[in-house]
Amino acid sequence: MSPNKITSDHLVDYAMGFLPLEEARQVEAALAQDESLKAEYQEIQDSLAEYSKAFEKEPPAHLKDEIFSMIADELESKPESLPEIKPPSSAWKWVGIAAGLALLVSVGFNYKLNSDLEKAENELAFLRSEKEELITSYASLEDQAKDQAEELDVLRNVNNKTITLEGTDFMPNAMAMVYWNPETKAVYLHQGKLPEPPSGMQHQLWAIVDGQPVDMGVFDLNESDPVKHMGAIATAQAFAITLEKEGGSPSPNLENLCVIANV
Amino acid sequence: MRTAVKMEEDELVKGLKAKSISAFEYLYDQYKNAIYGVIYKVVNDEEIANDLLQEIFMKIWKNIQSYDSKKGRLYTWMLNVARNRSIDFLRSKEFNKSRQTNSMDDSVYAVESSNSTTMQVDHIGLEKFLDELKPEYRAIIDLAYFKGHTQEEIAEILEIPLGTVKTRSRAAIQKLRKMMKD
Repeated sequence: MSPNKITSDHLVDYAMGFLPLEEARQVEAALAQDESLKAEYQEIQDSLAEYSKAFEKEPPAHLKDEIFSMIADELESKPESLPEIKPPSSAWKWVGIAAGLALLVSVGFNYKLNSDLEKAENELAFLRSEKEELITSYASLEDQAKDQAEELDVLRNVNNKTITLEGTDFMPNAMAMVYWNPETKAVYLHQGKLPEPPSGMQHQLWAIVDGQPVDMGVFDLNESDPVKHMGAIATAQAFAITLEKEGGSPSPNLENLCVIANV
Repeated sequence: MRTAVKMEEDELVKGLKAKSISAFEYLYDQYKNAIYGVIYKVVNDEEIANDLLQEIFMKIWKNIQSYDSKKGRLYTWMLNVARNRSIDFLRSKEFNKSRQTNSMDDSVYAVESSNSTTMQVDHIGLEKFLDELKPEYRAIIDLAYFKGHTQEEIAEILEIPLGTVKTRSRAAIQKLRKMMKD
């Protein structure tokens, strides 16, 4: 079994603990060299790990306190081993010992202070990153909630006209929806089923007013946020979407007409 | 949405390596049920599982520096710490002594699999596995992965040829991997 002969079967046998020591070593050596083998082995491990979660069981609550008091003890009794001193025999012996002891006390005290400080700093660093994490996720949830509330308002508004724009010969399967409130002039667009634009191009929405196209803005497709607030208009007879160069065009390129519908 | 609020694993590992107690508490709360479930699955005895849970979490706390995120996920590492220690215990004299008086037959694993009462089915869920993973596949994984039996022992316990143990274990893992992707 040379490293290049290690197969999926060996990886499974290894994960299951079936291989004799010698072969297990060969698998380990191969894993250290071969990235794709390593990725496959991790996938096997992860699938077993996921399976193991099916047996979740809640431990008795008192175990937590016991574990954390053991950890507190362990942190307290960090090796504060200080060098042993042999009493010198000179006349300065006692002065030396006294000075040495004073130093020891001071060193010991500093050590304690330092390790306390270090512990506190570690705690602080962790709590800070935890806090930032929470703030970011909260902010993103808040944004999402705001977007969704806004979309819901748009979709629920009884004064809205819903216009379903349908695909053209150029893009027969495309579809999009416009929600338009002529009173407030607000125009919202649901991206519906528009294909991704080619690179360097963007979709652009137009309102057709008395036969003239009026720019309602360009937009990017985003499945997690499909409703977009577009330009405002009080009257329109039709809406259409074309593919234009990035940033949009002053007038539509009708060859690239994706979807259109009359109001 | 749930993952958005969940702390990034990198941050957690950083905190653990810096010996932050809050990080460890977070770790404990997140993984205690999974780890305890694994220990219990191996030793099948609550009192022993309680002792081992303490010992294993202390081991995780002390050995966190040896965890290397390039080699796999944090949970997978913890799981292996827990599994190896529990299987060692299962094979120890200590356990075998208590077992003589309170004997249990390994072959029940072929059908029993797990009927534990306080199961919390959160992730993929036991039910999905029970539905989709054939009992003979579960039996092999249980005996090898959770009980640390050799292929020869499994062949004997399940009364099937050695070759069948090999093919079945491979098929079982293939199926498990496929289920994880779906």
